Amino acid sequence: MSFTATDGNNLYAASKASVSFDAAKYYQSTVKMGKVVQVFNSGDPDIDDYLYSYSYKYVHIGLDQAYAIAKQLSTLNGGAPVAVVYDNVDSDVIYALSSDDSATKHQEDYDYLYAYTTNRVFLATLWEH
Amino acid sequence: MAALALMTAACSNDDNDLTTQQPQKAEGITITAQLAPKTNGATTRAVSDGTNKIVAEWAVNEHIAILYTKDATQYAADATITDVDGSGAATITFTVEAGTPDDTPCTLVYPYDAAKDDHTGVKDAATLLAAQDGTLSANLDVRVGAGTIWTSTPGLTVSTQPQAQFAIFKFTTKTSDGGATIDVTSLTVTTGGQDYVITPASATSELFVALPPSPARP
Repeated sequence: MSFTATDGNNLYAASKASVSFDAAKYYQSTVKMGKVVQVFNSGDPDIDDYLYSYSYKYVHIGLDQAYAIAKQLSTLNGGAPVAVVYDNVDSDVIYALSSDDSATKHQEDYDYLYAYTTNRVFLATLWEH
Repeated sequence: MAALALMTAACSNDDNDLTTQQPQKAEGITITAQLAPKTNGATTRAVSDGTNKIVAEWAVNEHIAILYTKDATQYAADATITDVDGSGAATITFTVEAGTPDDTPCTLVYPYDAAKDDHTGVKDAATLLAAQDGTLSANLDVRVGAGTIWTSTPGLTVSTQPQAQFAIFKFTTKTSDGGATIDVTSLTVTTGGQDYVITPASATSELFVALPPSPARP
């Protein structure tokens, strides 16, 4: 089971391990969501510093494009639950969401995917349960 | 949620028999039957958020589709809940076509609008769950059962008691550290290769979502 959500300004994503659930039952769950992409103002110098420090070539994407890419990442994972997560530019930490619903922070053991479009770029992690 | 159960209208040792309430009419055959409580409680709300559980109840004026075939034509009798007693048991009344034979198989679909327009069964899950708004309503509590209509002595026998078709989730959206809630304007849940889009009327961090059951991964 995977999730994407918007709050009107940002796109969030989360994923749980393969879960089974039954009809006629009631479940309550907290979905801890990582920010997939943060919409920055063009020309924000912080973004330039961050991206150039990692030698990323960046362009900008919009929310719709980011959503489409998030969907692609799920497809890449064979339809299995996938978390695509992007940290904000201030912390240098990549967030991934674990199957037990707790947030973990990693910068290793993940396949990094870089998406380039005509406007913006974002860094995403592909995480398999 | 407790499974929906149909029981006799009058006291009887056979819980699957429904007793005659009204004689056959020229324009159709009216059957009155009683439904066992979904759970218990008030009669004003079909489903409500309990403590770590959902409370599902029959409500007066809810409608159930009784789908059956007569002379190769599919029909949907509109069964109306006319009363809910203190135990939560509901009385329903519906009318089938005149000339409907005895021992006519039927499918029970709740709520009525969950039945296919051609009266052949229940709508598929993707259709039923395509336009959720995150609120808890009877539309999330789709139930399907099977039975037999009797017309010489009007009644209904239930062979498969109506069962809820979906799991109902209450999702709370929070930041990845779990520290703050996120009020979302749209949530997409992907499971079983199908997207279910929930669009609340206003941004919220708590959304009720119905999903078809997901079998355990082998």
